[in-house]
Amino acid sequence: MEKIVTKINTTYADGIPVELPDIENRLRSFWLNIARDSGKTVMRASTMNLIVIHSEREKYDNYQKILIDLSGHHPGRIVHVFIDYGSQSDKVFAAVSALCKMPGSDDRQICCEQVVIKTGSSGEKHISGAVIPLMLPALPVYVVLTDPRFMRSKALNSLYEITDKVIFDFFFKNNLQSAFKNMVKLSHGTAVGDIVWSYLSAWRDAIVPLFDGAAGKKYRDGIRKLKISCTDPNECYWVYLMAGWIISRFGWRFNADQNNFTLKREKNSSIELSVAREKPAAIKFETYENISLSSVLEDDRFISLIRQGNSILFEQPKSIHRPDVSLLLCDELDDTSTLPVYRESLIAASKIYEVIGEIY
Amino acid sequence: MNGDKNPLRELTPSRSASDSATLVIFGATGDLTARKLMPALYSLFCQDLLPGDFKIVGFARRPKTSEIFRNEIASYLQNLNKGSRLDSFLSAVHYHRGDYTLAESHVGLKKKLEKFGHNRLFYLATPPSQYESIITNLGTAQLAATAGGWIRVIIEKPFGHDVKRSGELNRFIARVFNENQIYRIDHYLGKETVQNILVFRLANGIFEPIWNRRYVDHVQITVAEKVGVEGRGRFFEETGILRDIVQNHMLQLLCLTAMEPPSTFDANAVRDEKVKVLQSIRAIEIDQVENTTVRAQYAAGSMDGIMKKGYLQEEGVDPLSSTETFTALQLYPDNWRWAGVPFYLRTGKRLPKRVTEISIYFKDAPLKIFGKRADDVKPNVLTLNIQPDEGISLRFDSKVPGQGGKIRPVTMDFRYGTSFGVDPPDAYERLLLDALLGDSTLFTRADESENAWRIIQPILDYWQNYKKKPLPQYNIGTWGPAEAAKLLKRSGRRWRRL
Repeated sequence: MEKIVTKINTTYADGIPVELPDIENRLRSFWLNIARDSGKTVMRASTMNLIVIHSEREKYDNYQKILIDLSGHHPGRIVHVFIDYGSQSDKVFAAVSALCKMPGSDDRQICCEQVVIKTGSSGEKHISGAVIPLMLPALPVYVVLTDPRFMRSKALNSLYEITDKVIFDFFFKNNLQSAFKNMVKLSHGTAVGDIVWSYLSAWRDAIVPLFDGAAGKKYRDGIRKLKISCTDPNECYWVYLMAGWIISRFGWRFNADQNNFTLKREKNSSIELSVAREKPAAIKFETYENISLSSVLEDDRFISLIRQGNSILFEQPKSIHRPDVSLLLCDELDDTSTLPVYRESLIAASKIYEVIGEIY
Repeated sequence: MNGDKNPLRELTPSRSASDSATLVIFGATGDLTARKLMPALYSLFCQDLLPGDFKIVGFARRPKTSEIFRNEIASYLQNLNKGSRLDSFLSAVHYHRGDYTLAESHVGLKKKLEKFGHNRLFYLATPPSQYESIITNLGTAQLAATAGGWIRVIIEKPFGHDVKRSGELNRFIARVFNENQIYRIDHYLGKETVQNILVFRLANGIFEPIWNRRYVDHVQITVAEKVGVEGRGRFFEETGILRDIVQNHMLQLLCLTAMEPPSTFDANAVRDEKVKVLQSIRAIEIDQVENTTVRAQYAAGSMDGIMKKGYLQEEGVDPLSSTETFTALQLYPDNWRWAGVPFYLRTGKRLPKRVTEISIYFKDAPLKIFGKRADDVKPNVLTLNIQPDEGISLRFDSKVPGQGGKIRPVTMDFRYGTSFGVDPPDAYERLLLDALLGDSTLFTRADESENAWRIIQPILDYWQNYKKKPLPQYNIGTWGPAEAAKLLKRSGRRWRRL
């Protein structure tokens, strides 16, 4: 996707404080004010409802920029929620603002409405009741969760019930079991998407060619060991996701003997799976013919494909483009369905975690 | 030409009532008078739509003078920002203290009215339990008789409590008033968009040809309230939302959506067609009630950042109550136009927002030719927004600009406020003026009311006999219980998210 235009005018970016019951009225009068104050034509565009929920101030601030980027391509009503678990408050603060962009050479602005809602841990119970009435009718509702704990929040269940798609945007290293369970559970009730999944597309693109053609099939049939490693404990989630993707696509089955975790393929030969935290981050296949196929991430910027064995081949490191979250999010917002391949990978990843446990 | 008609009045743009008239409001110290009737009358007055010789007589039990009554009204109206005509308006307002149950109170009223003109409009803004006393006493005091002018009576809903009592009430009123004198008011019918349903359908050639079973998949009608019972727990316990909203407002909306074009746009022709729709609705058999209806109560929860009580904790409500605060129904008009097309109705209290709308869901295109993106193609939906933002919107699918073939639904909106630059008049304004002008098109006729009761009576009977305890609960601020979603899901449909 092309880069979003960057000529940005954030009107009232800090927001105008407003009582919850008055938000709609305030937004109505707000549009008149924006047009009057700017002296320019304002086009109020709405194609979706987007709710982003945070528990970390830094992420919340980062997302403010992401949402401005997003507003030109996916205008709609944005509800930006921050639950400060460091505070016990149950008071709910709300503010309204507009995110405006001027995409063309004319003086036309496209503006999104933004409602900011902030509260403390005790105010979590008010979030669904505050957000649901703000949804624009009949437009899709997307919820971005930046903290896995939101998935197990009963207070947010009502919100998930009206959601067309939940988009995960988190790395996690703790409570993986619970997180996986909740992700799979949510995926049964609503469509889900995952920024990490999009983020890993460069890896997937690097792995796929290893198994192309007759040679690739030979390698695939000969795999006896699959090892996936990551460098950052925060990124362990992606190890399981990548393993889940490979296993589900190759159709390997989990071995019932869980003391010695292996995978079974069609001809009942076993594959040993290991996941680890070590440098460099890599995905490595070993075959019976002592061939090693690897995809290695170097310097967080390049992926090298390496085939070692009786036919040794090094490929030049390939520069990887890690797109902005706003672009990844744009892709997720183009679709209200779950990618079947993602869902299968997630379910397999959850199963792998259940059997293997934590990466140490 | 009819000799009684003023030829100069015909074809004049204004609908102002020129005859002298006196409006008597029973229940003059109540909430309806303060919040709706007086502001509506004052607005009509400021637009010069009331007769030049117009009087208002407030009738209530509380002892007070006309001056005190005027001061009270002034306090309701002074914030309306309608200019400086308040004193002039108030000079037409009078107060009559009386007991609804005593004939002599009405005899006293008659004496007072003799000072004014012969045209009289009685507005019963009292609890329904007072209707019989007031009507009896109006008859006894010979206030229902025409003496060189016209006499009309406006009755607020509910028109009865069930099919039996509705019939009894109608027969009782008919002893004193003729049907053409009776104006049963359902304020929904005074809303601009409700009136616009027929204009939209019948004045635009493109819609009527597709307004039938061949093109329409189903219809959804929603009346959502954000408020709870608001201190009216005792009243609501006796009523429930099926009686309070479905029997009148929602079935009226259904009628206007489903009715055949009337031969003319006069009151009886329109109401005849509405009655035909009500008569065509398939009776719900007792053994079908569970499958075709949903009832539930709101449970405690958060709204607007404040924890609110559940229905069973509200003042005046039995903690073991089985009175419903939410209901959803599936109805089928069994007629040539709509055979097989379900009409889904849902209404509830403590839902996320106050909204009333009718959505016509059209059938899918006959062939899905867009390959993988076929699932992105959504059916066209035409939505008539009744409140709070009166207008009409049409959803259709469009290609997302770019190289891909993505399809996304978009909407085309028409809003009264922005298109005409004026807000539509309040429903009570319209209806009061119609009653003064003698136009009963937007009022409910006796047979309409009784047929509406006939539709919901099996549900009331079933619910009465099978009191579920506890009823399914729904969280405050949500769109109802899971059972409501299941009602549509059985046929692969879902409620429109509002």
